[in-house]
Amino acid sequence: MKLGRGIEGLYALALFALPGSVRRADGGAILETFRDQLADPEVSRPRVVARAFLRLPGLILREWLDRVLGGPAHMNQPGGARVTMGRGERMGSMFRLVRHALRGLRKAPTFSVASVVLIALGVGASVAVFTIVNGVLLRPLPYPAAERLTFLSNGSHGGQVLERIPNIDAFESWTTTSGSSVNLTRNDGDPLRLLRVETTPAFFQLFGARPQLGRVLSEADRGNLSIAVLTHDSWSSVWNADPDIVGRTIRIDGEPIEVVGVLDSSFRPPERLMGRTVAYFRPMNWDNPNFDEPGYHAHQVVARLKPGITLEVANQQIDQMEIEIAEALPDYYRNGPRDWPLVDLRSETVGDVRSGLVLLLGAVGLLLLVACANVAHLFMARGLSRGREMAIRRAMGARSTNLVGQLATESLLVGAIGGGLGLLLAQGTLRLFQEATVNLPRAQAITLDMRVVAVAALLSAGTALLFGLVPALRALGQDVQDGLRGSGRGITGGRRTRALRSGLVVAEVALSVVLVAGAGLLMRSFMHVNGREPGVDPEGAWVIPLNISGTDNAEDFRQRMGALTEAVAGIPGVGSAAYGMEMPFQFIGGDGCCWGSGVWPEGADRETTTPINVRMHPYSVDYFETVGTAIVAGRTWSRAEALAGGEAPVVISEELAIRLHGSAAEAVGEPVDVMDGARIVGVASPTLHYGLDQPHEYAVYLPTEVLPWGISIGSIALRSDRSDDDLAAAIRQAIWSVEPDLPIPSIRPLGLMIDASSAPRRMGGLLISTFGGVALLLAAAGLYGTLLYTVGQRRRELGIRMALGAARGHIQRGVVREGLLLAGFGVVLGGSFAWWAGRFLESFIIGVSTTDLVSLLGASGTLLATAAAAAWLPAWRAGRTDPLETLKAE
Amino acid sequence: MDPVDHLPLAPRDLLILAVLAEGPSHGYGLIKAVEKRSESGVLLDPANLYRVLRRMRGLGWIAEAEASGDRRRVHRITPEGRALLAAELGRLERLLGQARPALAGGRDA
Repeated sequence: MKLGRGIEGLYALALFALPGSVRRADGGAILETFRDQLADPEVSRPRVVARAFLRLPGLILREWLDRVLGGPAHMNQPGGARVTMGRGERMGSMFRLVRHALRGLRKAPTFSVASVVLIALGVGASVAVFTIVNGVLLRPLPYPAAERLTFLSNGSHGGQVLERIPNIDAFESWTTTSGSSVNLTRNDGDPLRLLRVETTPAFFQLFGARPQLGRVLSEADRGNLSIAVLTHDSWSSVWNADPDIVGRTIRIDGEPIEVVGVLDSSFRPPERLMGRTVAYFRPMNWDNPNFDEPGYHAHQVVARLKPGITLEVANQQIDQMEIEIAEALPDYYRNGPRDWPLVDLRSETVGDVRSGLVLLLGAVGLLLLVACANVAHLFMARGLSRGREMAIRRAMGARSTNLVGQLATESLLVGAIGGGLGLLLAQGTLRLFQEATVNLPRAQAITLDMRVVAVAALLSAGTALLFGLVPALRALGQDVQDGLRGSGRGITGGRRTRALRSGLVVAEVALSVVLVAGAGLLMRSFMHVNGREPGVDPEGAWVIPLNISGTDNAEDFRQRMGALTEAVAGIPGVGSAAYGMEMPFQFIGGDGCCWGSGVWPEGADRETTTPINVRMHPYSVDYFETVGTAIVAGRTWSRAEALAGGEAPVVISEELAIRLHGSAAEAVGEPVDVMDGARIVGVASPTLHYGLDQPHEYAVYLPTEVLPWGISIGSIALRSDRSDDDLAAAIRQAIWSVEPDLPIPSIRPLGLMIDASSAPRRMGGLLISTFGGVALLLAAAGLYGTLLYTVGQRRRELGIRMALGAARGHIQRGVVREGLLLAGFGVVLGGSFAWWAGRFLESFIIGVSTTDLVSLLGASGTLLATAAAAAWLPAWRAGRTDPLETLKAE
Repeated sequence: MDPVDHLPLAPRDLLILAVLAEGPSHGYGLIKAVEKRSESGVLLDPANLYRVLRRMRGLGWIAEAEASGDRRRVHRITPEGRALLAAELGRLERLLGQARPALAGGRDA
């Protein structure tokens, strides 16, 4: 029943390819009839389904042709050739050509379906991947003069930078943004967490953001922090596209805010600055007291260069600014000025997915080549088998231009149907892709555009014409007498064709080895990453990220998070709970978060050496027990110690202990140069805090009691042996008993967060593996076809040999040997290439060498085994050659 | 247009007209009846069936009938269609009449 539904849905979907008028007139009735047919217990369902689907492409084509060339009402017979009714002669003959070609293709269903499917797969995969690459990498950002937009990189910036940017003379215009999470109070429903971005009026001009309702921010709003311009997305999702929203007051963090405008839907937030989820903009708070703090960095800077000014020139001015800032604050910049290179906003947005996408494009290119090679096989086989047909038709007086026209039409038709299906396939893939990947930058920019469609059309037509017409022309060029004489000796192109086919098989095998070896490398790397020790115990551990907005000092942060954690710890069945700014595996990827500091090894010369970068992790006292990180030497701090003042008691990670003091045990009791002085009380086992595929970071864990400042994000971790649903409800209740208005966006099992950190690797590995698998199948099919064909060609020879007493096994082994020889060539060729090309995978793999023998040998073995299997059937057939039968056929 | 202009009919059209001559039918009923009469020689799929029906409607051979209670679309034969069917059957009969004696008197090749 369920299957029937799916098939019906698929059929309904396929009917969408019909011209609109036909679909409207008959679509419903067709579907209804199909449904009746499926429901009929007397019919063979697979056969009915196969018939309905296989006949559809031809029908769709005919309906479209009718629309273009004039309807079937003008024709007397659907099968007849009487077409013209005052129609142009040329139209009629073109129509007839297509008709003939369709009929020819219908007579060779295996060939037609196989080549259409191959072209569809090849075109579908390459169009999908190329579209992604085009959308993400090649297309300009959707902003005015986007090529001149630049981004001040290397982190966020503070008051020192913001007050000097207006002096940079290379900039035509600039703006700054800073995002914070805020809580929206709603009358109907739970409080909601939103992303607010503060910015300057220039932002709207730089990014071409126009209002749909009301207005955007202007200079007159300076200092007015209680107004908001909503994005189109949040206006429609949070406020249900309320047309009277402008002028209304919303409550953010308990404060009244007036909505002054809504942006129109064409505006795409610049992801590198604020992600995609920004809900509203408000004017900059230029009176932010933190701007005087040299260590406060929370703002992104974007500027548009003046026309004709290069990045280099602008960067010289930025360098100058960096020196000025360092000179103004010699204490803070005791190691010299910081470097904030100005970079192109687009490359910054795309970042490190570039290499991944290029890899994908390479892989799909290889796949397309394999698919093309197979189409070539098919067409060549068909071209040869039609040598006789062509000869007969020529003998009967057909003009060769007509025959060429027909062959070309057939090729183009196969190309067109395959290409069309390929485009549908690509569109489906892209839709799935867009839903599946939230992490790819600029995923919104991915749409099929006309250029890509044009490339696809050229690709499929080119493939079909090149491989379809050329062999057929060669068959046509033969002597008519020769062609008529018969199947065996008649085909003179035999030897050259065989060489060509063998070459194609070798190439296919080689390409497949490259793909399979690459897939092997990626999968092995993924397995390595997944096998790494996270350093925490995910069993029964949960993480609750919170946004305690309005908190701006340490005391406040401690009090609120402390009270919430206590409430959570009081839930029956919860063993322990702890809080911090963030939890392990919450911010994966490494550079998105957190507090860093520099530590010098003991006795190091601070003038000449650079400090070791460490990550500072403030946590409450039960943290290690809660997340399950072992203390390998010393102990954790006690609350009394943490509150005592003076030197802060800290725990450091094992690697840092080894780097500073040689071993974990020796580090305990030693001082460490962070904050205003700290002493190591314990050493924790290493954790992969920022994701399974990230390097270990040197970590300093410190008590929240010694935090010098507070922020408005925090996370609670807890450990419990209770089951999911009840626990989540109990957690919400506990938190809301302390702060009823606090949104709780998610309660996540730590185990899932760990898995998520390696998910992109799994995705990539699976994708390339799929390509590798498909390539493998295609190569096997190519080899199989070629061997079968040669065996067929050599039937006479084999028959004679068997008549002369050759052993069946001998002949069979000969065929298998031929197959393995071809595959062997391919494996050696592909293996060498894969060995060399492994270096391009370097940035994707961890823990496996780029010339990993296991993947290489595995791929070669797989290919050879597949080749042996593919050769077996033709060999068996060769062995079954009946000497009498073949000789009689002479 | 004189029905003779349309002769000979394609087997599929002939079968459809013959089925409808016995009474209106909905889409799947037609497919089944045609399949049965042709002894599975003419197998229709839904999409192609409606293409044929559309063309035959356009030529005025058949028309859509008022559905009785059922929501399904039902087709019936028109007088023109009936005339055409009769003409085709007449033609076939004449053909058979000529062919049978020839066959009976001829020798196997």
